[in-house]
Amino acid sequence: MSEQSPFDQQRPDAQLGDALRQLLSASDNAAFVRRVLAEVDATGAATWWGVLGGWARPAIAAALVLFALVGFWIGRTWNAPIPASYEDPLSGVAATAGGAPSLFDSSAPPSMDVLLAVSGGHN
Amino acid sequence: MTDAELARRTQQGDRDAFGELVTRYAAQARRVARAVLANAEDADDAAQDGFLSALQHIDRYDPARPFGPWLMRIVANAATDRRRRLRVRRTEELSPVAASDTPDPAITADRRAFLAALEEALQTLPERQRTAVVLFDVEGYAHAEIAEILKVPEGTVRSDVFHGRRALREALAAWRDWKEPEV
Repeated sequence: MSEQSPFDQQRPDAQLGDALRQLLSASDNAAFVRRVLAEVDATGAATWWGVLGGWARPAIAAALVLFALVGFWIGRTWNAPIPASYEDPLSGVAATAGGAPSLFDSSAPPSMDVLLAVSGGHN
Repeated sequence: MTDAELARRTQQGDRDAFGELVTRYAAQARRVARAVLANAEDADDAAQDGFLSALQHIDRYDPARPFGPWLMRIVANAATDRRRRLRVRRTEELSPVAASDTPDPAITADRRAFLAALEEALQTLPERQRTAVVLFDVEGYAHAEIAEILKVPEGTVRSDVFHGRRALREALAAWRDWKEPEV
């Protein structure tokens, strides 16, 4: 018996390897291959979808999220309140306490004092 | 066509490419599974499980790395999983020696006896040592590749191979000539 030292870690033990290969090798690998592929075919679309879906499903999910975000953004843009700069400049100027009353404030008629002040300026 | 190219084609849904990979690695996968599971039928079931799992997760394979270690890790895991699910049956079947290749029945019987002793010795090793010895001495993987397959440090692989070999040779010390006599 070849006494290859177990200390020879650099090379496979050819004698032991040959014996183990003979021990562990099974017959008819072709039949085994056919068996595996038959199982692949039996699982059919599920298996191949699992292969293709490995990248397709995340891509589809990302696209749906993107569309949802775009749709949300568009919706917010359309429904956004009109900025004050686009409103009637003559409205919304509130006659707050202490502030000058506006002749054109439609929320309240001008006071008599204002009318008299305006008419007095043209005399 | 390289293994990496076949794997890339498999990732794209090419059944024939996967079939070629199965053909290339069938014998190796069956041996590795048999190292874990003593029973040949269980080993073939585990090897099949390994190939199917590899197909399902083919998108995780990096074509820049060798395909063999990646596949053998999956096969070894499948075999380990199956062993845990099964009540391990200590096989008494003789090794599948190709008797038709050895015309002398006496030599075949002697060889069969030796292989039976080898199998018994192999099964006394811890699973990781058995797998490491088979991957190194039978399948020719490097220590670093085996470390990747078994997910252990390379130093652990070296230790496993050393102790596994020593245990097998001690168990087979009575067999003075391992080689089959030339007819």
